Amino acid sequence: MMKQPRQPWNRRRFLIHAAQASTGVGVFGALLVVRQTGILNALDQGTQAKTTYPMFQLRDISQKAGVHVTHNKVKLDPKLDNIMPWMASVGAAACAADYNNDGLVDVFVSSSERNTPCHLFHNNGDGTFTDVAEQAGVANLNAEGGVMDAVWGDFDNDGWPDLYIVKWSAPNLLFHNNHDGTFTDVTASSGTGDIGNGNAAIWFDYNGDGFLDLYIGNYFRPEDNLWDLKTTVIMHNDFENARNAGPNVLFRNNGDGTFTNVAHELGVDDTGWTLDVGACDLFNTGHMDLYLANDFGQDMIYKNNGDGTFTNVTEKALPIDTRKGMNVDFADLDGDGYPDIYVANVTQPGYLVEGNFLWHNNGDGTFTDKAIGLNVINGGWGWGAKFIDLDNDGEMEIVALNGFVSAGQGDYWYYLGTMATTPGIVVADSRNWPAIGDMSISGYQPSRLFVKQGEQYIEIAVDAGMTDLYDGRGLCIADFDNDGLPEMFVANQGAPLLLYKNYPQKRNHWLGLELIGTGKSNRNAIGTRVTIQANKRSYVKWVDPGSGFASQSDRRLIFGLGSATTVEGIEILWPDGKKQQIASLALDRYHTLTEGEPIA
Amino acid sequence: MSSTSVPETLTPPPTDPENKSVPKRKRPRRRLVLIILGLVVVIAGSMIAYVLLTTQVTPLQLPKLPANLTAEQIGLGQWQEYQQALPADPLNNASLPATPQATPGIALLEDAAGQALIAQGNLTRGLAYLQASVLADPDNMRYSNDYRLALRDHKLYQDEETFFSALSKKMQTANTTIEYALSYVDMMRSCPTPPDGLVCQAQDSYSSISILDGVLQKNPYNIIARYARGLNGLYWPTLMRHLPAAQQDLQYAVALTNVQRNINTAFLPDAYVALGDVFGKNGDVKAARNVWLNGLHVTPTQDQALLNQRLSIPQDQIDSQESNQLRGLGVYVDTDVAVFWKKG
Repeated sequence: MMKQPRQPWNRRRFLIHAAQASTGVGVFGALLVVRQTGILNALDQGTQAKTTYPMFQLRDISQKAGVHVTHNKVKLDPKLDNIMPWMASVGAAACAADYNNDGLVDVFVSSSERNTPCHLFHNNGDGTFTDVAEQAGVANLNAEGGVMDAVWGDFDNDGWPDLYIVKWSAPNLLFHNNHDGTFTDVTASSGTGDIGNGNAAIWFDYNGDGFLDLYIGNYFRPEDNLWDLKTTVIMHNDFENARNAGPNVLFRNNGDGTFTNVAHELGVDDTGWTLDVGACDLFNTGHMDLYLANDFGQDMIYKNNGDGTFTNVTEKALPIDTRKGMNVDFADLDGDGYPDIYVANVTQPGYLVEGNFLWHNNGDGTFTDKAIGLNVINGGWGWGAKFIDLDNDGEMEIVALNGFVSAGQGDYWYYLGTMATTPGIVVADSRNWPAIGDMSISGYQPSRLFVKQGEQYIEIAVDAGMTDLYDGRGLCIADFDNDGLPEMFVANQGAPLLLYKNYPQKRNHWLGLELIGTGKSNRNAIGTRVTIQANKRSYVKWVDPGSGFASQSDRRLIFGLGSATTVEGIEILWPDGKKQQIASLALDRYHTLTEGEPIA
Repeated sequence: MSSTSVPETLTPPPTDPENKSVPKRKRPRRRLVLIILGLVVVIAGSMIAYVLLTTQVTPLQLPKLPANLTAEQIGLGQWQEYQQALPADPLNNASLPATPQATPGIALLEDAAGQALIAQGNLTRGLAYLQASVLADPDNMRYSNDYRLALRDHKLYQDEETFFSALSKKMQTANTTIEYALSYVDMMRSCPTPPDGLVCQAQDSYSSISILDGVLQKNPYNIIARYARGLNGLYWPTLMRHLPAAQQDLQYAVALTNVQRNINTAFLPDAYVALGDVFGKNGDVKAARNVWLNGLHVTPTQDQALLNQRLSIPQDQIDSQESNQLRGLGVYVDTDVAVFWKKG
């Protein structure tokens, strides 16, 4: 073969080769950049995010559902007129239970003003509710004092939820469920008529005798009748370390329909300004421990020793806390089998930026606040807050209600701040407080909906449709239509109850469990720990006793399983310590499991 | 000559057929040079204008002070005593009593001994000597300062407050009262770490301000009291409305440096930085920078680091840095007032 004569270099040839080389280098460089930066993946994810954001749509259906009732605030002794908006800032509560055992979750909703009725919304099963409080005998609870909270619990293990009502300046009330849609007031015979000016209560079996006991978080001192004051020295005596509240109460269930207050005897009669109480197995001992969310000072943890006694482990478990604890809720966020804790505090930029707590359970008896790193710190002036898996993907979202007093355009914060920081002012005396008048205090705040994205949470409440600016208080999470997706009943202070129905972008698989305890386990199975293996990880949940400010959520457990089509194993640790293993259960439906009975 | 000459324009130069190079274009190159020169001029002009505009210093509006203020009137009448060197090897000094004694002639020795003992780890005895030096000469701020800082550094805040409260009540002098006020600033460190303990800290600051109010009513030109009260005001969240008072106090402090600088120049940057911080925290970046630039003009080069640090903060970050990192909740104030008289 003859060699082709080499063409001499000229400008044209040079330019052609240069262009070819440049193209090659450019393409190679572009590929390298794409590979190194993952820009294509990012673009792809961006497209996906666009199509799935927001991950849920929440629509208020309270009008259509027939639950759009307005809460009425208390009007107390006129001696408190200068701070009446402050004093009348709590009482809106919502608590869920299937009181008539028809398989549908019903909701008790409070009103607080004298002679205004409370509501018992019977779930009609068609997306609507009927207020049956009057015929049930639980409507007119404000003849004296004012209703602040309620909690359902089957105290006599007869299979029907009973109702405990927490009040200010009047005896709390215990209603026994008559199994026919009505209730009987058994306060006197049961001995549970604590006059403690309380704000919170839970049912849990602290001593393992199979009967639910009652723990009540009290606020003002019991001797202060807020409708007829003998003194105006009724307030907290410090903004960061107040210990002068009414003592908390623990009613031990004697098993015969009577109760005995053993709080002092057991050292759990805390005199912090308790706004919420919660209980969960914080130390993985199989026993329920107490967490008190205290206003104006240190939250408390009482470890259940498993022998009917408690140990105050606060000093070891938590750092010093001078914040305004409002709410406590539990969830195992990282699948390590230990519950983590979300606590609402106060955040008001420019004045008091406390931040909410997200206590990561270290598993060694201590907790570390991860709220900043996870971006769940700013909840505004916090109230009810709950973990919730809105799309059943297995990752818990956090919903946090907020807003203190939404009134006129004036802002009370400067006056409050000045009073709080001026030494020598006796803040316990309400007469020393500047008049609030029509001023707002952290009012008109949008709720927060924190959604996990990567290693952090993003806040999407407004985008998701949670747009109300009411002063939210009790947050009751309940699957009222049994579709496996939790809904939210939001009790607003002096404002309408809202019912946010949940429309996730993507339907995931789920498993619902209703647990019934037998033997030495309380029938409500409160405290039961369920571990599910799926997606090559563990999901752990506990049956809740009514944790969360002014609220009680659906007691049933819903496990969001994402795309898993089966579970690899279920372990139930009942309150009496018995363990039950279940190979698997059908997904996307509820199962009723009775302790010791074979799976149907 | 003209008839035989050929006009250059009509007669092209002989061309070499082998030479195919492009004729040199002189005009474009000249244009390029001109453009570059123009750009250089524009850029240089812009830079000069930028430097002139951004570093333009407007004189500060400061309170008018009486003429001929003395060191005594600004609270530093004893500055020469304060500057005395500590005796060397005090623990082996024969004049040092075996047990601390409140004797004026040995106060400096006891001060030195106290510090030496603490450095050796003997806190209790060291504090006793330091306290004796204060009791020997209660109005001497150098001794009070040394004792108070020793207590502070060992977290004995309550002891600090108790001692200086009693001392100020007994002596009722400006200096002892200022030390008492500073004990409350130190006490802020005993509060829980922010965001906890905010009210606790604010109450201590409030107490300090209240005590200094009394000092300044009688001694309006006391530079230490002005500065201490100004920093207290600067600590509070902006919405609590203490910044106007802080501004006034720190303007006084800056004005009073005209007298104080005869003692040393160490305080100059602190005064200007603090006053600038007031404006920075209030969101007036231009005014803040102007104060700091004024500070640069009067501060010796070797002491300008703090001012330069402030001036290096990106302007859109000054507000947040002031509130979160430089001044404000949880940013503890160093109450070492030796800066007003220390040598060098």
